[in-house]
Amino acid sequence: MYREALIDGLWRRNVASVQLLGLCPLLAVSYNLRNALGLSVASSFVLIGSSLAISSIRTLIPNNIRLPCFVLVVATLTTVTTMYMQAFAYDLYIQIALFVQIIVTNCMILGHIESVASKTTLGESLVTAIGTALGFSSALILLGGIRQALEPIMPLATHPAGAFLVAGLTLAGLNFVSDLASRSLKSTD
Amino acid sequence: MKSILTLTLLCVASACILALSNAHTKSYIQQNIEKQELARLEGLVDELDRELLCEQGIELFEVERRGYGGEMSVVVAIQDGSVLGVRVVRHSETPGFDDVLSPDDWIGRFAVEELEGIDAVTRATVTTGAVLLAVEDAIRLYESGVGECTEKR
Repeated sequence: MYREALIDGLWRRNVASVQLLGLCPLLAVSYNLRNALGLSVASSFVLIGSSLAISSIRTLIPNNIRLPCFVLVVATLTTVTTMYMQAFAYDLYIQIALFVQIIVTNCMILGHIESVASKTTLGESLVTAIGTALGFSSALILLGGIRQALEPIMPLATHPAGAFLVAGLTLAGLNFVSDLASRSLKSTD
Repeated sequence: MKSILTLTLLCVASACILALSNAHTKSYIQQNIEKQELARLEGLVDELDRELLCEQGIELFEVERRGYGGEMSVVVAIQDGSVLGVRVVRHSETPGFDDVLSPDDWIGRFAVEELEGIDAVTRATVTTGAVLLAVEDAIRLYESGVGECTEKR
């Protein structure tokens, strides 16, 4: 079951390439590998941390005020992340400050808390959060790597317009591969 | 009732976490910001020791002016009555519009051109206008003789 959850997060229900959530930081920060890595770590920390926190206090949160509670927890963790980045990774922080701060509003995190963490046990929500974080990070790092590698032959790739082009083509490529995979599975049936 | 209690407790817990991490990171962040402000002065003067600068006739004035996104802190170096160079060490201007403040852009012109020849930049009028006002402030300060060198004399 845990293996399933990891594969779901990483591939079958990948937040970025399948659910198309959290695209704003994905497009904005992925112009090089270093920033992509930095934002991956920050987002993953907030996602896993808030998932654990919400999951462990889920029975105490009344249904009608669950959203303010979720946002409060996510905002606290994001602010803590911001402080520690400012203190120990200042150069990186200067580059991606804005996108670290808006992790609060990342629909990937709120979506995960609403649909998984607030309904399941600590262990299950931890594994699902790790899967989701890995999925988001791999998409971000993949896109960052491609855009940085394309820069010498296509300088546009590191600009905002290039982000849309590269992301669109990468998603199309990933969908093509998963299409092929599911078709070959069917034909063997 | 339960809602109020839950939210209050959660807020208190968050506040504690934030206070703890703020206490832990505050001094590091301050160091980083100071280091960056010093780095921004690079190329303006050879060194930052005020007494040595005074011997060369250079005075540094730090002036605050309101830019587009809030207060900005401008350091103006004045040597024998003429502007030697200008740097913005702290600001909250919109990212992308602050490139006029980088030393190899608009703000670098203060080092090579006459003050009268420098205008505000169209797409960053408020930002560059604030720098111009700050430079005028600094010149006024220099002329009224409140600079550190004059005080010591």
